[in-house]
Amino acid sequence: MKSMLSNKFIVIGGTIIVLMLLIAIFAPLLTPYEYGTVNLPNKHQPPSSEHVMGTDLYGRDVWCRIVYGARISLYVSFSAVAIAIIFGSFFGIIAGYLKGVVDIVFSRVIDIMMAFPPLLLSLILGACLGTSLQNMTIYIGVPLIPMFFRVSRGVTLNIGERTYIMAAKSIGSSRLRIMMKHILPNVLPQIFVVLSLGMGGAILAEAALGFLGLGVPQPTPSWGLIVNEGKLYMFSAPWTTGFSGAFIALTVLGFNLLGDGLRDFLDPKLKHLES
Amino acid sequence: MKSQKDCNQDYNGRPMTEHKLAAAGKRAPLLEIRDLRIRFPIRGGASVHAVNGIDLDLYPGESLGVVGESGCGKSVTFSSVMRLVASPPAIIEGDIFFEGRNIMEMTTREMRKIRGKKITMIFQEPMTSLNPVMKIGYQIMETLLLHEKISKKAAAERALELFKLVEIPDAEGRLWCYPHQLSGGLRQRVMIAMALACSPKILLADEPTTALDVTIQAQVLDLLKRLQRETSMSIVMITHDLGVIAELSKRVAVFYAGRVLEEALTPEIFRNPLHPYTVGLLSCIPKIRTEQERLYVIEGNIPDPTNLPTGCPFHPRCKIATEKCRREEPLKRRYSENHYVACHYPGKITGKITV
Repeated sequence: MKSMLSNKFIVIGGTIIVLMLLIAIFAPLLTPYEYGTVNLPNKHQPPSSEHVMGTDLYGRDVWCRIVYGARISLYVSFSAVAIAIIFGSFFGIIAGYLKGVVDIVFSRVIDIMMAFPPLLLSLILGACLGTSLQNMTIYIGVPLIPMFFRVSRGVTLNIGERTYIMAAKSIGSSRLRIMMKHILPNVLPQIFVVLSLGMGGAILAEAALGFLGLGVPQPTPSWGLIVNEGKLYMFSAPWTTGFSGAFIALTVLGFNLLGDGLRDFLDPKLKHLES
Repeated sequence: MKSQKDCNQDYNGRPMTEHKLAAAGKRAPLLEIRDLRIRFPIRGGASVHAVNGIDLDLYPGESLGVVGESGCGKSVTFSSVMRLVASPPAIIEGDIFFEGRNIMEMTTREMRKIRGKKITMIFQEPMTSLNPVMKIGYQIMETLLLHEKISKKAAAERALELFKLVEIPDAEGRLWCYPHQLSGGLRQRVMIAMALACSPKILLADEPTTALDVTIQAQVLDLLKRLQRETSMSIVMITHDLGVIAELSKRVAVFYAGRVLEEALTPEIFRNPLHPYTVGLLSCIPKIRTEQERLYVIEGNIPDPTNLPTGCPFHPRCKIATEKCRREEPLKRRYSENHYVACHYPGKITGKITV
């Protein structure tokens, strides 16, 4: 644990993520305004002591919307990644352990999914399912499945041949038990690394879809939606897009730093070099 | 099937089963391997012929030593006894009877009830045969919980007893350690404890001391020897170290190129080896009392398992090979009481070859 804190990437990335989570959790305490209250005479106010980040085209406080938007954006991203992890690692471990026909079938299905650009896949699914908070987690999560599938399949292929898996078999464990008790705990550390990278991707995907109009319905704020609303006034009132965009960039940066840091930290070869 | 018929006769043409039963005090064998053949297809239509017709019996309470060079099929033979050889890709023919039932015809579910309960295995590499992310106590308990209807608490108590049985110092403290916190010797003890958890009928020890240094080797061998005395289980000691065999096993089977070349009681094989290969193997052991400049080696290499020689598999390296050896494969037959050999000229080379 001590050496984990000596990794700068993990510390910086982790701090950013923790800050964002705190903002999301304590949103009502951080702003006196309601995120949905329209105040048209007050529209497009530049940042002032009253509205720290100005107001948007309906006169709503931008800081307030960003703070509440953090809830939606982070919730959607976490749920989407959770879906991707559950399905990706489940099928990945099965494919990697059983091999043969099962592996070929699963891998080809994943290859087909990967043939679509993730955003396009999200758009197709989004158009089919319709926009709601729940559907959004699905259509952001599904394109992330291949990433987790490939990692867990690769790790499983590697450790499936180890003697302790053979030993587990030799004491009479069933295949399901071997996968759950012996392979899964060994795959998880790798999953955690991909998780933080995947989170960055999910935040970006949420923003992109929000920007394209496939985000959460109005007036619920999400970061992508805020950028979208401000895009027409990007030059006359740049604070709306500017601040929300900065939050997106910062959060993605945080997750990517954390992911890189974790990868370095968990890579036994690099650890060996350090010590 | 031809070989099976032939090998049931001795060198005088008498049926072999009679002798075997007589030798074992009329006990039925616990494990019977009958004409086992295992090959692994590789690219280009060829196959690696790992096991080529093995017949072997294991009697209750017996300790059998299996000796042979690397790649002679000894590990794969006994892995297939537990059906741990994945098939496909491997092509397995022949029968393995355990307590009279054919293992090759059992369902996966039936097989799982035998693995870990009736037949267990210790692997060569103690460093990699324990799950690195699972506390060793749980790994021991897993065997018990899988096969016996006992509570977790009872399983933990039993695990502690097993740790004491395999002489792990500070057993209470070590039970909840991770594998990386233990030395190789201790990990091998943990493996042995795991294998003993359900008091199995057969313990297959696949080179259990190869990866350990000599001091620890001696300790582990002493432990196995003690366990064998105290329990009624049969131990199959797979090794390439004749010293280990001499120490532990009552009977020896010499493997070569996926066949059993010679099978005899241990003192008999050291006193009176019949097969030229066994004679060669014994001659390789350095002797402390005689001054020797060079150690004896059996010239040549083990045959290519994708392209085995015709006739006797040992003939390309054998000093007394004749045309008959090149043409005709010798089958394992009874030579004398408790002594079986697969050679056209058994006993032609005797004693130790010196350089």
